[in-house]
Amino acid sequence: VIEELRERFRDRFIDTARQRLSRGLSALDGAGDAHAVRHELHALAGEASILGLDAMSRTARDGEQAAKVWEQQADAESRLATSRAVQTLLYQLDAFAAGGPGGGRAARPTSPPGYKRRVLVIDESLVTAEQLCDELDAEGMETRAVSSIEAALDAMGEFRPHLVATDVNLPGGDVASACGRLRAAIPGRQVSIVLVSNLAREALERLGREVAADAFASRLTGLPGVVESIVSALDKEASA
Amino acid sequence: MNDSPRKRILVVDDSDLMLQITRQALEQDGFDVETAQNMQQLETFEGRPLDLILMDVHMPELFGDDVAMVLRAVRGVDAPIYLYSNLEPEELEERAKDAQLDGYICKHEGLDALLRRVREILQPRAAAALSAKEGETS
Repeated sequence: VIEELRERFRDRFIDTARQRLSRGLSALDGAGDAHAVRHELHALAGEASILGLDAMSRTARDGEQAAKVWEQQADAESRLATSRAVQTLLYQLDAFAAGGPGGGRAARPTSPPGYKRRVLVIDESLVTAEQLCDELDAEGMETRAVSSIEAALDAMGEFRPHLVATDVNLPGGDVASACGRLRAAIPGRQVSIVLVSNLAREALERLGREVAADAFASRLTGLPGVVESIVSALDKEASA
Repeated sequence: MNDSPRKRILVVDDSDLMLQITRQALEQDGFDVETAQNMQQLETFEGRPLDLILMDVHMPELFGDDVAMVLRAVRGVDAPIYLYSNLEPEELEERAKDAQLDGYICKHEGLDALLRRVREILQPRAAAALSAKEGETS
């Protein structure tokens, strides 16, 4: 029964889960709405478990617990734990969506042997940054994950990335100033900057123009969309 | 109670996806299934014969155990009412007991567990026979 129903409701589950996670991400933005995130994660945990998607169900339940503490204590730590759970669920959902018949990503040509394009990923959550790095590694890139602008500036000289993918909400500074400092870190060399965020495409595009970023990637499109944006920006940089 | 040979189950849950999956699974197992996503839809079942009510707990406009308590104590619903939720078993047990309901089923135990429990509730003899047969073959 379970196998048959999982297949029958697969697309519907993926759509519903994406909508729930999108609403969860919106509720994590700004002042934050712990109750709303908790509700979405609770419902998603039930939907995943009934289809036997145990890993997603466990992550959603962990996130729901974190959101419950965040709702009660309004503390940054549980908010971060909730955010991590939502990010992990997005990755798990991408993996589930890519794993089924016809759901996989088209194979991308790999880089020439011995040549790896270097990408520095900045995100307050090192777990999230490393998850994106894993995906970029699989695309044949050399990556490094850091969790602050200071750590990124330290890495710029030695790692010399071709591209920096940065979350727009970094502690200790606005994104415009962060972009300026990153560009100035390697004098005489243009470094592409891609903004990564939970913002919707329109808002992110507007922000990207304001800070003169080379490209942007909304997490609402899922991890494959973020990777796609980074690869396109690298291709553009290489052909310039 | 329902006099028809097919047992009729009402599932109450705010998730449309959950209702659809649960309906499919229970119908494939030989039950008639009705669903309600909110209070308004639930009201339409008042007075209709049912053999079992499965009630989610956390819903946006209501708590399932509160609604179930009203159904049982005020509206006189005599069909067994089980909480059907993703909450931890200890919390579900307490809520079911406080609301004087018949029990609970954990969503995170999956569909197989749901079907097994529903058979135990509605077809105890058939469920016992099946269980004995499974015991012999294992």
